[in-house]
Amino acid sequence: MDVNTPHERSSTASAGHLPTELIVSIGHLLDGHSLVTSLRVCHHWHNALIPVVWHSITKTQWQHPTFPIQQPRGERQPQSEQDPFTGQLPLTLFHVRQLEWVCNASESGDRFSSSGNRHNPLTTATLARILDATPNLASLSLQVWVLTPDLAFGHALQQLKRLRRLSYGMRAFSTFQIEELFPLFSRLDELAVSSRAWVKTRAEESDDTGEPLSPTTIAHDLWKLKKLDIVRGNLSILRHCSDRMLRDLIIRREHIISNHIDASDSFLPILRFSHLNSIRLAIESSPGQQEDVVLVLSSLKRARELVLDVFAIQDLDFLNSPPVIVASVRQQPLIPDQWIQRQQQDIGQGDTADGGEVGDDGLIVLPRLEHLTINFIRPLVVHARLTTFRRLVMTRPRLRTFVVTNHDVDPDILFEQSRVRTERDGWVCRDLETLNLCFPKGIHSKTTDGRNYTWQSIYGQIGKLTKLKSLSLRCVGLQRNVEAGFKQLAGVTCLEELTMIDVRFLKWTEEEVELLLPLVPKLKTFSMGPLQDADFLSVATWLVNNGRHDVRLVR
Amino acid sequence: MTVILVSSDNQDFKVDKEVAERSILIKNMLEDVGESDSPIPLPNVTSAVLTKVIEYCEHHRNDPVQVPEETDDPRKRSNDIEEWDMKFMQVDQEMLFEIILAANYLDIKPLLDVGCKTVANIIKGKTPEEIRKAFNIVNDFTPEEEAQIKKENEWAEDR
Repeated sequence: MDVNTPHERSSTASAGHLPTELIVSIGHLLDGHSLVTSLRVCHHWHNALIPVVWHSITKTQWQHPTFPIQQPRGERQPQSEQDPFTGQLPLTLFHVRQLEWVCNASESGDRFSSSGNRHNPLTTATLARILDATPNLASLSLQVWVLTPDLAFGHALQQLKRLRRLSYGMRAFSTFQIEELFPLFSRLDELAVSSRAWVKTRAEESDDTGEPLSPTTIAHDLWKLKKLDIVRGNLSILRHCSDRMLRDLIIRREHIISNHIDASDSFLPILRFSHLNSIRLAIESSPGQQEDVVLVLSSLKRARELVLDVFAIQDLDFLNSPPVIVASVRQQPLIPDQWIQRQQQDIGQGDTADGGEVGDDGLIVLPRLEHLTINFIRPLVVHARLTTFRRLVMTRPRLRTFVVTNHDVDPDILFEQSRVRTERDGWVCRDLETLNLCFPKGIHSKTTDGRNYTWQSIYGQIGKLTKLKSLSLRCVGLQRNVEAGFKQLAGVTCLEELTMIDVRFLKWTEEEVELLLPLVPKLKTFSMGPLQDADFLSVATWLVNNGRHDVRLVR
Repeated sequence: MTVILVSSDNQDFKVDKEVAERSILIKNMLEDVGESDSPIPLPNVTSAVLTKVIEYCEHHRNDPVQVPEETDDPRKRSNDIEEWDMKFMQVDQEMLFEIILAANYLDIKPLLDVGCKTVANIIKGKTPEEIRKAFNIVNDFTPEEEAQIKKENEWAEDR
């Protein structure tokens, strides 16, 4: 058996003699300050760590006044629009694997304005030169608000052979045809296109014979994207995606709500992607669209993560209902027969194909759901139908994330039974790791004995979530004293992040902080919302007095 | 089933195959050789270090096998170390680096990670001089060179 030694070894091991690859591994674990400090230790460390320094360039680093590539500033106009940056590019660009670049200034008029200077607004021509010097780039995030990017820029993008992730925020794909970038897109694992930049070119609109393409037409050569992040209006990109590859799909709302949504914006093309693990969708107000969303989500039997942007709470009722039957799919004119057949096959097989148990879960939409985030587009004050949330926590034992933003949750309904102290009556989702809720104002004590039963049932239930890592509660008049049952939180020993924001700026008392700290031994981040400087300082002092230097205080 | 590992100072270690296969190097060797009970020589690892490495593998024998990272995202710089691992790593510095080198040679990724995190945690918050002192490294920069490096890379501190 041949086991030759791959490394030469000194007789005694020390950090100075570690092989380069191990110094690199350690370097990747360091924060920026420690990394730059480590460069100065010795030549061996310096040479090993320079590629780590250049591995990932963030937008704040571009904007740093000492970053080696700075667009010419001041009154002077660039000599040539084609190549305004005339300096030497650093050879270390070769090491860059991840690059993030944002330009807030437009390339024309205000490029040389003071705000432009602060942002180091490279022209797309300079950007093209930089991309040419970074052949190893694996991840690129760009926001370029220019209407006419330099031709060399499109060319440089196409040349990035190792690129796997692209986030492309741009006003338009204007000077180069979108098809020119298809070879690049076909190599990617992740693509994010923000803004409605996907210009419908001829190939996107019609087939070879000039017939208009249906939104469900599938392209000939499918890309291998695993993650796609787009806005409404760009759904035609889905025709290029392989349903066997795509796992994460994010469809963001456009900022401007258009009244008219044409057929190409239909959600129905998503029906093809039954292997999705994670999906984000917006349920807009028009009724036809709501049906699409329910239909699509009913077909995703494997999805574990759902993010919904909704207007009204009744749009969520389907989460508590049995899946829409396949027969209704057949009525949809946009869906080709082979999809319907596959849907029927999938339902016939159940979920046994990937080894998971099905049980009674098959009776609800998204039976595998573990992470649920509901963002309300507009804050709502109506409290009708709030049992929706209650039913979610009582019927979905798999939930690990339950986040509701921008909407008050009525605690008397959500925590209804938890004041009855039997194990059976609590929420079924005992493995929750992340919980984020807002309560309406006016959770008062209604009894004469001075106890607040609503807060007692809230803290009593949350205290049973022994796996909780992140808790966020927002309320007017948050109560955190013994009378409110604050001590019942005692079960949340794993908690690392706590946000308790009282919109009324009610400050914490020393007793409350001292009551809290022993309950949460692993707390790392403590956020209290907007506080006066003095109050903030006193909480910080109490933390230190109690030996909790490790807790980061956030306003 | 057990296998016999032989350290550089010729000591035999009899361990369960399951434990030994935490090392991808040994796992691959066993697969190549097939059914065989011949001892496996590890000329790069002393018995003191091998004892520690086996202790680690015994404790983590039932851990799920790590899927190789698809992306090397430096944002995921979590330096959290499990309590048991933290105690396990409380050794003198020579042993710490011996363990890291052995984990690298034997291809035991989780142990290598814990070792690197331990070193990274030692570095944090120290000046270059303190780092040199902590790791017994000789400074081969002039003060001017050191100042130049600091100046050139200032932008990189923000990340």
